[in-house]
Amino acid sequence: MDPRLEPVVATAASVPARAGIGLRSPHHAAITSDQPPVGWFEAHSENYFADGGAQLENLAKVRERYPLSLHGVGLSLGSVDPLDDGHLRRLKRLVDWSEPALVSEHLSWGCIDGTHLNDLLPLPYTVEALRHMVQRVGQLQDYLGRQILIENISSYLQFNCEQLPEWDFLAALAHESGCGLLLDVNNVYVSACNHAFDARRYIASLARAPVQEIHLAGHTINRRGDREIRIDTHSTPVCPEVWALYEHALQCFGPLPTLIEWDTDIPELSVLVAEAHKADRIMERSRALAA
Amino acid sequence: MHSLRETQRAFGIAVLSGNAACMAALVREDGLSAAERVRIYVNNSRIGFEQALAATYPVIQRLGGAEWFTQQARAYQLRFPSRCGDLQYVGKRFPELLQAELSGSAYAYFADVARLEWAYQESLVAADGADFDPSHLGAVHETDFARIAFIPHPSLRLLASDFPVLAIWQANQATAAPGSAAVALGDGPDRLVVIRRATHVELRRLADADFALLGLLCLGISLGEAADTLAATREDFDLPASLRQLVALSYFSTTEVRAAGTAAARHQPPRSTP
Repeated sequence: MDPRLEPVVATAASVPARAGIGLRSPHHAAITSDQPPVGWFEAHSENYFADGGAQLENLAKVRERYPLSLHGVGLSLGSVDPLDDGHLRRLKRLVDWSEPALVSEHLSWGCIDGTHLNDLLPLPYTVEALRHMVQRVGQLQDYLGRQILIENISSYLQFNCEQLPEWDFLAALAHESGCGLLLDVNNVYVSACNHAFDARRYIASLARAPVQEIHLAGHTINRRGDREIRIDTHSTPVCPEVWALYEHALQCFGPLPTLIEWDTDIPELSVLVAEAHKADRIMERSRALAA
Repeated sequence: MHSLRETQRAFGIAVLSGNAACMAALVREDGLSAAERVRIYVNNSRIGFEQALAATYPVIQRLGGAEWFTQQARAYQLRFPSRCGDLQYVGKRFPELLQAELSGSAYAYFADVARLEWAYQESLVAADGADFDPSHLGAVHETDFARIAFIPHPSLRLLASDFPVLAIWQANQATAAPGSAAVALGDGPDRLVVIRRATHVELRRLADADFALLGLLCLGISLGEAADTLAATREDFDLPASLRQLVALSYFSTTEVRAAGTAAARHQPPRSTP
Protein backbone atom coordinates (compact mmCIF):
# COMPACT_ATOMS: atom_id res chain seq x y z
CA MET A 1 0.00 0.00 0.00
CA ASP A 2 1.44 3.31 -0.98
CA PRO A 3 1.46 5.44 2.18
CA ARG A 4 0.98 8.54 0.04
CA LEU A 5 -2.48 7.36 -0.96
CA GLU A 6 -5.33 9.31 0.43
CA PRO A 7 -7.90 7.38 2.45
CA VAL A 8 -10.33 5.70 0.08
CA VAL A 9 -13.21 7.80 1.39
CA ALA A 10 -13.31 11.07 3.22
CA THR A 11 -15.17 9.85 6.30
CA ALA A 12 -16.06 6.48 7.79
CA ALA A 13 -19.66 5.53 7.18
CA SER A 14 -21.43 3.51 9.86
CA VAL A 15 -22.55 -0.05 9.20
CA PRO A 16 -26.36 -0.12 8.99
CA ALA A 17 -28.60 -2.49 10.93
CA ARG A 18 -28.90 -4.67 7.85
CA ALA A 19 -27.35 -7.88 6.64
CA GLY A 20 -23.93 -7.82 5.00
CA ILE A 21 -21.71 -10.54 3.60
CA GLY A 22 -18.09 -11.55 4.04
CA LEU A 23 -15.80 -10.24 1.30
CA ARG A 24 -13.99 -13.20 -0.27
CA SER A 25 -11.61 -13.18 -3.26
CA PRO A 26 -13.72 -15.41 -5.57
CA HIS A 27 -16.48 -12.77 -5.44
CA HIS A 28 -14.41 -9.62 -6.03
CA ALA A 29 -15.22 -9.32 -9.72
CA ALA A 30 -18.94 -10.10 -9.29
CA ILE A 31 -19.27 -7.58 -6.44
CA THR A 32 -17.64 -4.83 -8.49
CA SER A 33 -19.70 -5.52 -11.60
CA ASP A 34 -23.08 -6.47 -10.05
CA GLN A 35 -23.04 -4.30 -6.92
CA PRO A 36 -25.29 -6.74 -5.05
CA PRO A 37 -28.04 -5.26 -2.86
CA VAL A 38 -26.53 -5.95 0.56
CA GLY A 39 -26.00 -3.48 3.38
CA TRP A 40 -22.24 -3.79 3.88
CA PHE A 41 -19.17 -6.00 3.58
CA GLU A 42 -16.76 -7.44 6.09
CA ALA A 43 -13.18 -8.25 5.10
CA HIS A 44 -10.65 -10.41 6.93
CA SER A 45 -8.00 -7.84 7.87
CA GLU A 46 -5.02 -10.09 7.10
CA ASN A 47 -6.18 -10.66 3.52
CA TYR A 48 -5.50 -6.98 2.88
CA PHE A 49 -2.13 -6.58 4.61
CA ALA A 50 -0.41 -6.31 1.21
CA ASP A 51 1.81 -3.31 0.45
CA GLY A 52 0.10 -2.86 -2.93
CA GLY A 53 -1.55 -4.72 -5.79
CA ALA A 54 -4.92 -6.16 -6.72
CA GLN A 55 -6.25 -7.07 -3.27
CA LEU A 56 -6.07 -3.47 -2.06
CA GLU A 57 -7.53 -2.19 -5.30
CA ASN A 58 -10.44 -4.62 -4.89
CA LEU A 59 -11.00 -3.51 -1.31
CA ALA A 60 -10.94 0.15 -2.35
CA LYS A 61 -13.62 -0.52 -4.99
CA VAL A 62 -15.86 -2.23 -2.43
CA ARG A 63 -15.21 0.52 0.11
CA GLU A 64 -16.27 3.19 -2.37
CA ARG A 65 -19.74 1.65 -2.59
CA TYR A 66 -20.40 -0.05 0.74
CA PRO A 67 -19.76 0.43 4.47
CA LEU A 68 -16.89 -1.79 5.56
CA SER A 69 -16.01 -3.80 8.64
CA LEU A 70 -12.54 -5.30 9.25
CA HIS A 71 -12.39 -8.64 11.04
CA GLY A 72 -9.02 -9.96 12.25
CA VAL A 73 -8.26 -13.66 12.41
CA GLY A 74 -4.49 -13.81 13.05
CA LEU A 75 -3.54 -11.32 15.79
CA SER A 76 -3.73 -13.91 18.59
CA LEU A 77 -5.01 -11.28 21.01
CA GLY A 78 -5.37 -13.69 23.94
CA SER A 79 -1.89 -15.21 23.67
CA VAL A 80 0.56 -14.69 26.53
CA ASP A 81 3.18 -13.98 23.84
CA PRO A 82 3.64 -10.25 23.18
CA LEU A 83 1.51 -8.94 20.33
CA ASP A 84 3.38 -8.99 17.01
CA ASP A 85 4.51 -5.40 16.30
CA GLY A 86 4.56 -6.00 12.55
CA HIS A 87 1.01 -7.37 12.61
CA LEU A 88 -0.16 -4.39 14.67
CA ARG A 89 1.50 -1.94 12.27
CA ARG A 90 -0.09 -3.56 9.22
CA LEU A 91 -3.48 -3.61 10.90
CA LYS A 92 -3.26 0.06 11.83
CA ARG A 93 -2.09 0.97 8.32
CA LEU A 94 -5.10 -0.87 6.87
CA VAL A 95 -7.52 0.69 9.38
CA ASP A 96 -6.17 4.20 8.74
CA TRP A 97 -6.36 3.70 4.96
CA SER A 98 -9.75 2.00 4.63
CA GLU A 99 -11.53 3.74 7.52
CA PRO A 100 -13.81 0.83 8.42
CA ALA A 101 -16.91 1.48 10.47
CA LEU A 102 -16.19 -1.55 12.67
CA VAL A 103 -12.97 -3.38 13.62
CA SER A 104 -13.20 -6.74 15.35
CA GLU A 105 -10.98 -9.50 16.76
CA HIS A 106 -11.64 -12.82 18.49
CA LEU A 107 -11.84 -14.00 22.08
CA SER A 108 -9.07 -16.47 21.39
CA TRP A 109 -5.35 -17.08 21.06
CA GLY A 110 -3.26 -18.91 18.47
CA CYS A 111 0.44 -18.33 19.16
CA ILE A 112 2.76 -19.56 21.90
CA ASP A 113 6.53 -19.15 22.23
CA GLY A 114 6.61 -17.59 18.76
CA THR A 115 4.89 -20.50 17.01
CA HIS A 116 1.56 -19.75 15.35
CA LEU A 117 -0.97 -22.56 15.27
CA ASN A 118 -3.13 -20.66 12.77
CA ASP A 119 -6.38 -21.46 14.52
CA LEU A 120 -8.74 -19.72 16.94
CA LEU A 121 -8.01 -21.54 20.20
CA PRO A 122 -10.18 -21.11 23.30
CA LEU A 123 -9.02 -19.37 26.46
CA PRO A 124 -9.63 -20.87 29.90
CA TYR A 125 -12.26 -18.57 31.40
CA THR A 126 -10.31 -17.71 34.54
CA VAL A 127 -9.76 -14.45 36.38
CA GLU A 128 -6.14 -14.49 35.17
CA ALA A 129 -7.26 -14.83 31.53
CA LEU A 130 -9.82 -12.06 32.00
CA ARG A 131 -7.17 -9.68 33.38
CA HIS A 132 -4.95 -10.61 30.44
CA MET A 133 -7.66 -10.03 27.82
CA VAL A 134 -8.69 -6.71 29.40
CA GLN A 135 -5.05 -5.57 29.17
CA ARG A 136 -4.69 -6.82 25.58
CA VAL A 137 -7.93 -5.25 24.35
CA GLY A 138 -6.86 -1.99 26.00
CA GLN A 139 -3.47 -2.20 24.29
CA LEU A 140 -5.09 -2.73 20.88
CA GLN A 141 -7.71 -0.01 21.34
CA ASP A 142 -5.01 2.44 22.42
CA TYR A 143 -2.83 1.49 19.46
CA LEU A 144 -5.61 1.83 16.91
CA GLY A 145 -7.14 4.84 18.65
CA ARG A 146 -10.64 3.36 18.46
CA GLN A 147 -13.00 0.87 20.01
CA ILE A 148 -12.82 -2.72 18.80
CA LEU A 149 -15.41 -5.50 18.98
CA ILE A 150 -14.56 -8.92 20.41
CA GLU A 151 -16.22 -12.03 18.98
CA ASN A 152 -17.05 -15.23 20.84
CA ILE A 153 -15.64 -18.37 19.14
CA SER A 154 -16.93 -21.91 18.72
CA SER A 155 -15.17 -24.30 21.06
CA TYR A 156 -14.71 -28.04 21.32
CA LEU A 157 -13.25 -28.25 24.81
CA GLN A 158 -13.47 -26.57 28.20
CA PHE A 159 -10.77 -26.41 30.87
CA ASN A 160 -11.03 -27.83 34.39
CA CYS A 161 -9.72 -24.57 35.84
CA GLU A 162 -12.48 -22.32 34.47
CA GLN A 163 -14.00 -19.93 36.99
CA LEU A 164 -16.54 -18.10 34.81
CA PRO A 165 -19.03 -19.10 32.13
CA GLU A 166 -18.12 -17.67 28.72
CA TRP A 167 -21.01 -15.17 28.75
CA ASP A 168 -19.89 -13.68 32.09
CA PHE A 169 -16.30 -13.55 30.82
CA LEU A 170 -17.41 -11.63 27.71
CA ALA A 171 -19.64 -9.28 29.69
CA ALA A 172 -16.82 -8.52 32.14
CA LEU A 173 -14.36 -8.02 29.29
CA ALA A 174 -16.66 -5.50 27.61
CA HIS A 175 -17.34 -3.71 30.90
CA GLU A 176 -13.71 -3.49 32.00
CA SER A 177 -12.01 -2.79 28.65
CA GLY A 178 -14.71 -0.68 27.01
CA CYS A 179 -14.73 -2.91 23.92
CA GLY A 180 -17.91 -3.76 22.05
CA LEU A 181 -19.08 -7.31 21.37
CA LEU A 182 -19.56 -9.14 18.12
CA LEU A 183 -22.03 -11.89 18.94
CA ASP A 184 -21.56 -14.88 16.68
CA VAL A 185 -24.92 -16.62 17.07
CA ASN A 186 -23.71 -19.72 15.25
CA ASN A 187 -20.74 -19.95 17.61
CA VAL A 188 -23.03 -19.62 20.63
CA TYR A 189 -25.18 -22.45 19.26
CA VAL A 190 -22.21 -24.69 18.37
CA SER A 191 -20.59 -24.24 21.79
CA ALA A 192 -23.93 -24.63 23.58
CA CYS A 193 -24.48 -28.00 21.86
CA ASN A 194 -20.88 -29.10 22.46
CA HIS A 195 -20.84 -28.11 26.15
CA ALA A 196 -24.52 -28.58 27.02
CA PHE A 197 -25.34 -25.05 28.11
CA ASP A 198 -28.42 -22.98 27.31
CA ALA A 199 -27.76 -20.79 24.27
CA ARG A 200 -30.70 -18.50 25.07
CA ARG A 201 -29.42 -17.96 28.58
CA TYR A 202 -26.00 -17.05 27.14
CA ILE A 203 -27.57 -14.39 24.92
CA ALA A 204 -29.98 -13.10 27.56
CA SER A 205 -27.06 -12.68 29.98
CA LEU A 206 -25.34 -10.08 27.82
CA ALA A 207 -26.13 -6.40 28.28
CA ARG A 208 -27.64 -4.74 25.23
CA ALA A 209 -25.25 -1.81 24.91
CA PRO A 210 -21.93 -3.52 24.06
CA VAL A 211 -23.39 -5.83 21.39
CA GLN A 212 -22.89 -4.03 18.07
CA GLU A 213 -22.73 -6.77 15.45
CA ILE A 214 -23.96 -10.31 14.83
CA HIS A 215 -22.36 -13.11 12.81
CA LEU A 216 -24.27 -15.99 11.22
CA ALA A 217 -22.70 -19.02 9.52
CA GLY A 218 -23.17 -22.71 8.86
CA HIS A 219 -21.57 -25.59 10.74
CA THR A 220 -21.30 -29.36 10.41
CA ILE A 221 -22.00 -32.23 12.80
CA ASN A 222 -19.38 -34.92 13.47
CA ARG A 223 -20.19 -38.11 15.36
CA ARG A 224 -17.68 -39.57 17.84
CA GLY A 225 -19.18 -42.82 19.13
CA ASP A 226 -22.55 -41.94 20.65
CA ARG A 227 -21.59 -38.27 21.00
CA GLU A 228 -22.02 -35.66 18.34
CA ILE A 229 -19.85 -32.61 18.17
CA ARG A 230 -20.57 -29.55 16.07
CA ILE A 231 -17.72 -27.99 14.08
CA ASP A 232 -17.75 -24.36 12.99
CA THR A 233 -16.84 -24.90 9.33
CA HIS A 234 -18.50 -21.91 7.63
CA SER A 235 -19.22 -24.33 4.80
CA THR A 236 -23.02 -24.64 4.78
CA PRO A 237 -26.16 -22.49 4.95
CA VAL A 238 -27.24 -21.18 8.36
CA CYS A 239 -29.26 -23.96 10.05
CA PRO A 240 -32.88 -23.48 11.28
CA GLU A 241 -31.88 -23.61 14.96
CA VAL A 242 -29.38 -20.77 14.45
CA TRP A 243 -31.97 -18.69 12.55
CA ALA A 244 -34.32 -19.15 15.54
CA LEU A 245 -31.57 -18.15 17.97
CA TYR A 246 -30.85 -15.12 15.77
CA GLU A 247 -34.47 -14.02 16.14
CA HIS A 248 -34.09 -14.37 19.90
CA ALA A 249 -30.90 -12.27 19.81
CA LEU A 250 -32.70 -9.54 17.86
CA GLN A 251 -35.42 -9.51 20.51
CA CYS A 252 -32.72 -9.02 23.17
CA PHE A 253 -30.52 -6.50 21.36
CA GLY A 254 -32.71 -4.90 18.69
CA PRO A 255 -31.77 -4.78 14.97
CA LEU A 256 -28.00 -5.03 14.45
CA PRO A 257 -25.56 -5.25 11.53
CA THR A 258 -25.62 -8.97 10.72
CA LEU A 259 -22.96 -10.77 8.71
CA ILE A 260 -23.35 -13.93 6.63
CA GLU A 261 -19.99 -15.76 6.73
CA TRP A 262 -19.01 -18.52 4.31
CA ASP A 263 -15.34 -19.52 4.04
CA THR A 264 -15.15 -23.13 2.83
CA ASP A 265 -16.73 -24.48 -0.37
CA ILE A 266 -17.67 -20.87 -1.11
CA PRO A 267 -20.83 -20.77 -3.26
CA GLU A 268 -21.93 -18.28 -5.91
CA LEU A 269 -22.38 -14.74 -4.66
CA SER A 270 -26.14 -15.04 -5.23
CA VAL A 271 -26.36 -17.75 -2.53
CA LEU A 272 -24.80 -15.43 0.03
CA VAL A 273 -27.01 -12.54 -1.07
CA ALA A 274 -30.07 -14.78 -0.58
CA GLU A 275 -28.90 -15.69 2.95
CA ALA A 276 -28.37 -11.99 3.68
CA HIS A 277 -31.89 -11.18 2.47
CA LYS A 278 -33.26 -13.89 4.73
CA ALA A 279 -31.52 -12.21 7.68
CA ASP A 280 -32.95 -8.84 6.54
CA ARG A 281 -36.48 -10.29 6.51
CA ILE A 282 -36.05 -11.64 10.04
CA MET A 283 -34.72 -8.26 11.15
CA GLU A 284 -37.75 -6.54 9.57
CA ARG A 285 -40.06 -8.93 11.40
CA SER A 286 -38.33 -8.18 14.72
CA ARG A 287 -38.69 -4.45 14.05
CA ALA A 288 -42.41 -4.90 13.37
CA LEU A 289 -42.87 -6.93 16.55
CA ALA A 290 -41.02 -4.33 18.61
CA ALA A 291 -43.04 -1.44 17.15
CA MET B 1 -4.27 -24.47 38.91
CA HIS B 2 -2.23 -24.13 35.74
CA SER B 3 -1.25 -20.62 34.70
CA LEU B 4 -2.47 -19.19 31.39
CA ARG B 5 1.05 -19.60 29.99
CA GLU B 6 1.25 -23.25 31.08
CA THR B 7 -2.16 -23.94 29.59
CA GLN B 8 -1.30 -22.31 26.25
CA ARG B 9 2.08 -24.04 26.12
CA ALA B 10 0.52 -27.47 26.70
CA PHE B 11 -2.22 -26.78 24.15
CA GLY B 12 0.34 -25.57 21.61
CA ILE B 13 2.49 -28.67 22.00
CA ALA B 14 -0.57 -30.90 21.67
CA VAL B 15 -1.84 -29.14 18.51
CA LEU B 16 1.52 -29.14 16.77
CA SER B 17 2.55 -32.68 17.72
CA GLY B 18 -0.88 -34.29 17.59
CA ASN B 19 -0.19 -35.84 21.00
CA ALA B 20 -2.77 -34.71 23.56
CA ALA B 21 -1.19 -36.42 26.60
CA CYS B 22 -0.05 -33.09 28.08
CA MET B 23 -3.66 -31.82 27.94
CA ALA B 24 -5.25 -34.74 29.78
CA ALA B 25 -5.16 -33.05 33.18
CA LEU B 26 -6.37 -29.72 31.83
CA VAL B 27 -9.48 -30.63 29.85
CA ARG B 28 -13.00 -31.44 31.03
CA GLU B 29 -13.75 -34.76 29.37
CA ASP B 30 -17.51 -34.67 29.70
CA GLY B 31 -18.35 -37.64 27.48
CA LEU B 32 -15.50 -37.11 25.06
CA SER B 33 -11.84 -37.73 25.91
CA ALA B 34 -9.30 -34.91 26.01
CA ALA B 35 -7.52 -36.60 23.11
CA GLU B 36 -10.68 -36.58 20.97
CA ARG B 37 -11.37 -32.95 21.80
CA VAL B 38 -7.79 -31.86 21.08
CA ARG B 39 -7.83 -33.82 17.81
CA ILE B 40 -10.42 -31.39 16.42
CA TYR B 41 -7.96 -28.55 16.92
CA VAL B 42 -5.11 -30.65 15.50
CA ASN B 43 -7.17 -31.26 12.35
CA ASN B 44 -8.24 -27.62 12.07
CA SER B 45 -4.66 -26.42 12.40
CA ARG B 46 -3.32 -28.92 9.85
CA ILE B 47 -6.08 -28.32 7.33
CA GLY B 48 -5.81 -24.53 7.63
CA PHE B 49 -2.03 -24.70 7.27
CA GLU B 50 -2.18 -27.01 4.25
CA GLN B 51 -4.85 -24.92 2.53
CA ALA B 52 -2.76 -21.77 3.01
CA LEU B 53 0.31 -23.55 1.63
CA ALA B 54 -1.68 -24.90 -1.33
CA ALA B 55 -2.96 -21.40 -2.11
CA THR B 56 0.66 -20.24 -2.54
CA TYR B 57 1.95 -23.42 -4.22
CA PRO B 58 -0.77 -24.69 -6.60
CA VAL B 59 1.81 -25.84 -9.18
CA ILE B 60 3.78 -27.85 -6.61
CA GLN B 61 0.53 -29.43 -5.43
CA ARG B 62 -0.39 -30.32 -8.99
CA LEU B 63 3.07 -31.72 -9.76
CA GLY B 64 3.30 -33.84 -6.62
CA GLY B 65 -0.34 -34.81 -6.25
CA ALA B 66 -2.72 -34.16 -3.35
CA GLU B 67 -1.56 -37.00 -1.11
CA TRP B 68 2.14 -36.15 -1.46
CA PHE B 69 1.39 -32.46 -0.89
CA THR B 70 -0.47 -33.25 2.36
CA GLN B 71 2.59 -35.19 3.59
CA GLN B 72 4.91 -32.33 2.64
CA ALA B 73 2.67 -29.77 4.32
CA ARG B 74 2.76 -31.81 7.52
CA ALA B 75 6.57 -32.19 7.37
CA TYR B 76 6.89 -28.47 6.67
CA GLN B 77 4.62 -27.47 9.57
CA LEU B 78 6.75 -29.57 11.94
CA ARG B 79 10.12 -28.42 10.60
CA PHE B 80 9.22 -24.78 9.94
CA PRO B 81 6.26 -23.99 12.22
CA SER B 82 4.48 -20.78 11.28
CA ARG B 83 6.05 -17.70 12.87
CA CYS B 84 3.37 -15.36 11.59
CA GLY B 85 -0.34 -14.87 12.22
CA ASP B 86 -0.90 -14.00 8.59
CA LEU B 87 -1.43 -17.26 6.69
CA GLN B 88 -0.29 -15.68 3.44
CA TYR B 89 3.31 -15.92 4.68
CA VAL B 90 3.34 -19.51 5.95
CA GLY B 91 4.99 -20.77 2.74
CA LYS B 92 8.11 -18.63 2.90
CA ARG B 93 10.55 -21.48 3.64
CA PHE B 94 8.75 -24.28 1.76
CA PRO B 95 11.35 -24.24 -1.07
CA GLU B 96 14.04 -25.00 1.55
CA LEU B 97 12.17 -28.11 2.64
CA LEU B 98 11.77 -29.29 -0.96
CA GLN B 99 15.45 -28.58 -1.64
CA ALA B 100 16.48 -30.67 1.37
CA GLU B 101 14.05 -33.50 0.58
CA LEU B 102 14.44 -33.74 -3.18
CA SER B 103 17.97 -32.58 -3.97
CA GLY B 104 19.69 -35.14 -6.19
CA SER B 105 16.41 -36.89 -7.05
CA ALA B 106 14.45 -36.82 -10.31
CA TYR B 107 12.24 -34.19 -8.65
CA ALA B 108 15.05 -31.77 -7.75
CA TYR B 109 13.36 -29.14 -9.94
CA PHE B 110 10.42 -28.91 -7.49
CA ALA B 111 12.45 -26.58 -5.21
CA ASP B 112 13.00 -24.05 -8.02
CA VAL B 113 9.36 -24.25 -9.14
CA ALA B 114 8.44 -23.51 -5.52
CA ARG B 115 10.87 -20.55 -5.51
CA LEU B 116 9.09 -19.22 -8.57
CA GLU B 117 5.69 -19.60 -6.87
CA TRP B 118 6.99 -17.78 -3.78
CA ALA B 119 8.46 -15.00 -5.93
CA TYR B 120 5.04 -14.72 -7.60
CA GLN B 121 3.35 -14.46 -4.20
CA GLU B 122 5.78 -11.77 -3.01
CA SER B 123 5.39 -9.81 -6.22
CA LEU B 124 1.62 -9.99 -5.97
CA VAL B 125 1.54 -8.15 -2.63
CA ALA B 126 4.58 -5.85 -3.02
CA ALA B 127 4.26 -2.08 -2.92
CA ASP B 128 3.13 -0.18 -6.01
CA GLY B 129 6.16 1.41 -7.67
CA ALA B 130 6.45 4.67 -9.53
CA ASP B 131 6.41 4.50 -13.34
CA PHE B 132 9.95 4.91 -14.63
CA ASP B 133 10.47 7.77 -17.01
CA PRO B 134 13.46 6.91 -19.28
CA SER B 135 13.68 10.53 -20.41
CA HIS B 136 15.29 11.26 -17.01
CA LEU B 137 18.37 9.46 -18.32
CA GLY B 138 18.77 12.15 -20.98
CA ALA B 139 19.15 14.77 -18.24
CA VAL B 140 22.09 12.93 -16.63
CA HIS B 141 25.42 14.54 -17.43
CA GLU B 142 27.72 12.29 -19.43
CA THR B 143 30.36 12.32 -16.68
CA ASP B 144 27.75 11.12 -14.13
CA PHE B 145 26.49 8.22 -16.19
CA ALA B 146 28.72 5.61 -14.60
CA ARG B 147 27.46 6.66 -11.16
CA ILE B 148 23.78 6.05 -11.91
CA ALA B 149 22.11 3.47 -9.68
CA PHE B 150 18.91 1.91 -11.01
CA ILE B 151 16.30 1.29 -8.30
CA PRO B 152 14.25 -1.82 -9.12
CA HIS B 153 10.46 -1.85 -9.04
CA PRO B 154 9.35 -3.01 -5.54
CA SER B 155 7.59 -6.05 -7.01
CA LEU B 156 10.60 -7.25 -9.04
CA ARG B 157 12.02 -10.65 -8.11
CA LEU B 158 14.77 -12.65 -9.86
CA LEU B 159 15.13 -16.39 -10.17
CA ALA B 160 17.97 -18.34 -11.74
CA SER B 161 17.42 -22.05 -12.18
CA ASP B 162 19.13 -24.93 -13.98
CA PHE B 163 15.65 -26.17 -14.92
CA PRO B 164 13.02 -24.83 -17.36
CA VAL B 165 10.84 -23.67 -14.47
CA LEU B 166 8.85 -21.13 -16.50
CA ALA B 167 7.68 -23.79 -18.97
CA ILE B 168 6.85 -26.12 -16.05
CA TRP B 169 4.92 -23.36 -14.31
CA GLN B 170 3.00 -22.46 -17.48
CA ALA B 171 2.15 -26.09 -18.29
CA ASN B 172 0.72 -26.59 -14.81
CA GLN B 173 -1.59 -23.62 -14.61
CA ALA B 174 -5.26 -24.49 -14.15
CA THR B 175 -5.88 -22.77 -17.49
CA ALA B 176 -3.17 -24.73 -19.38
CA ALA B 177 -4.32 -26.68 -22.42
CA PRO B 178 -4.50 -30.46 -21.93
CA GLY B 179 -1.37 -32.18 -23.22
CA SER B 180 0.80 -29.11 -22.73
CA ALA B 181 2.42 -30.68 -19.66
CA ALA B 182 5.29 -32.29 -21.57
CA VAL B 183 8.36 -30.21 -20.71
CA ALA B 184 11.88 -31.56 -21.25
CA LEU B 185 13.91 -30.95 -18.07
CA GLY B 186 16.98 -30.40 -20.25
CA ASP B 187 15.37 -27.26 -21.72
CA GLY B 188 16.82 -25.10 -18.90
CA PRO B 189 18.48 -23.13 -17.53
CA ASP B 190 16.06 -20.28 -16.91
CA ARG B 191 16.89 -16.72 -15.95
CA LEU B 192 13.55 -15.28 -14.89
CA VAL B 193 12.13 -11.94 -13.87
CA VAL B 194 8.89 -11.74 -11.89
CA ILE B 195 7.24 -8.32 -11.75
CA ARG B 196 3.76 -6.99 -11.15
CA ARG B 197 2.23 -4.71 -13.78
CA ALA B 198 -0.62 -2.87 -11.99
CA THR B 199 -2.48 -5.91 -10.66
CA HIS B 200 -1.13 -8.64 -12.96
CA VAL B 201 2.11 -10.55 -12.28
CA GLU B 202 4.31 -10.99 -15.37
CA LEU B 203 6.97 -13.71 -15.74
CA ARG B 204 9.68 -13.34 -18.37
CA ARG B 205 12.81 -15.25 -19.39
CA LEU B 206 15.85 -13.01 -19.91
CA ALA B 207 19.06 -13.53 -21.84
CA ASP B 208 21.99 -14.41 -19.54
CA ALA B 209 23.81 -11.11 -20.00
CA ASP B 210 20.68 -9.00 -19.41
CA PHE B 211 19.87 -11.05 -16.31
CA ALA B 212 23.42 -10.64 -15.00
CA LEU B 213 23.28 -6.86 -15.41
CA LEU B 214 19.85 -6.66 -13.77
CA GLY B 215 21.07 -8.80 -10.86
CA LEU B 216 24.00 -6.47 -10.19
CA LEU B 217 21.90 -3.31 -10.52
CA CYS B 218 19.36 -4.80 -8.10
CA LEU B 219 22.15 -5.13 -5.55
CA GLY B 220 22.48 -1.35 -5.60
CA ILE B 221 25.71 -1.31 -7.59
CA SER B 222 26.19 1.69 -9.90
CA LEU B 223 26.00 1.23 -13.65
CA GLY B 224 29.75 1.82 -14.07
CA GLU B 225 30.68 -0.80 -11.49
CA ALA B 226 28.20 -3.30 -12.90
CA ALA B 227 29.54 -2.72 -16.42
CA ASP B 228 33.15 -3.13 -15.28
CA THR B 229 32.30 -6.35 -13.45
CA LEU B 230 30.47 -7.86 -16.40
CA ALA B 231 32.98 -6.71 -19.03
CA ALA B 232 35.70 -8.50 -17.05
CA THR B 233 33.76 -11.75 -16.74
CA ARG B 234 31.57 -12.06 -19.85
CA GLU B 235 32.72 -11.86 -23.45
CA ASP B 236 29.13 -11.52 -24.73
CA PHE B 237 28.34 -8.46 -22.62
CA ASP B 238 27.00 -5.46 -24.57
CA LEU B 239 26.15 -2.75 -22.05
CA PRO B 240 24.06 -0.44 -24.29
CA ALA B 241 22.02 -3.36 -25.64
CA SER B 242 21.38 -4.90 -22.21
CA LEU B 243 20.53 -1.58 -20.58
CA ARG B 244 18.15 -0.65 -23.42
CA GLN B 245 16.40 -3.99 -22.98
CA LEU B 246 16.01 -3.62 -19.18
CA VAL B 247 14.77 -0.03 -19.44
CA ALA B 248 12.35 -0.98 -22.23
CA LEU B 249 10.94 -3.71 -19.97
CA SER B 250 10.31 -1.14 -17.20
CA TYR B 251 12.06 -3.08 -14.48
CA PHE B 252 13.09 0.07 -12.62
CA SER B 253 11.18 2.63 -10.58
CA THR B 254 13.75 5.38 -10.60
CA THR B 255 17.45 6.22 -10.76
CA GLU B 256 19.86 7.94 -8.41
CA VAL B 257 23.25 9.44 -9.17
CA ARG B 258 25.61 8.17 -6.51
CA ALA B 259 28.35 10.32 -5.02
CA ALA B 260 31.79 9.20 -6.23
CA GLY B 261 33.07 6.21 -4.26
CA THR B 262 29.62 5.28 -2.89
CA ALA B 263 29.03 1.67 -3.70
CA ALA B 264 26.94 0.53 -0.76
CA ALA B 265 23.52 -0.88 -1.56
CA ARG B 266 20.89 1.55 -0.40
CA HIS B 267 17.97 -0.66 -1.25
CA GLN B 268 17.07 -4.16 -0.23
CA PRO B 269 18.01 -6.36 -3.17
CA PRO B 270 15.30 -8.61 -4.57
CA ARG B 271 15.60 -12.27 -3.75
CA SER B 272 17.69 -14.17 -6.26
CA THR B 273 18.70 -17.77 -6.52
CA PRO B 274 22.32 -18.01 -7.65
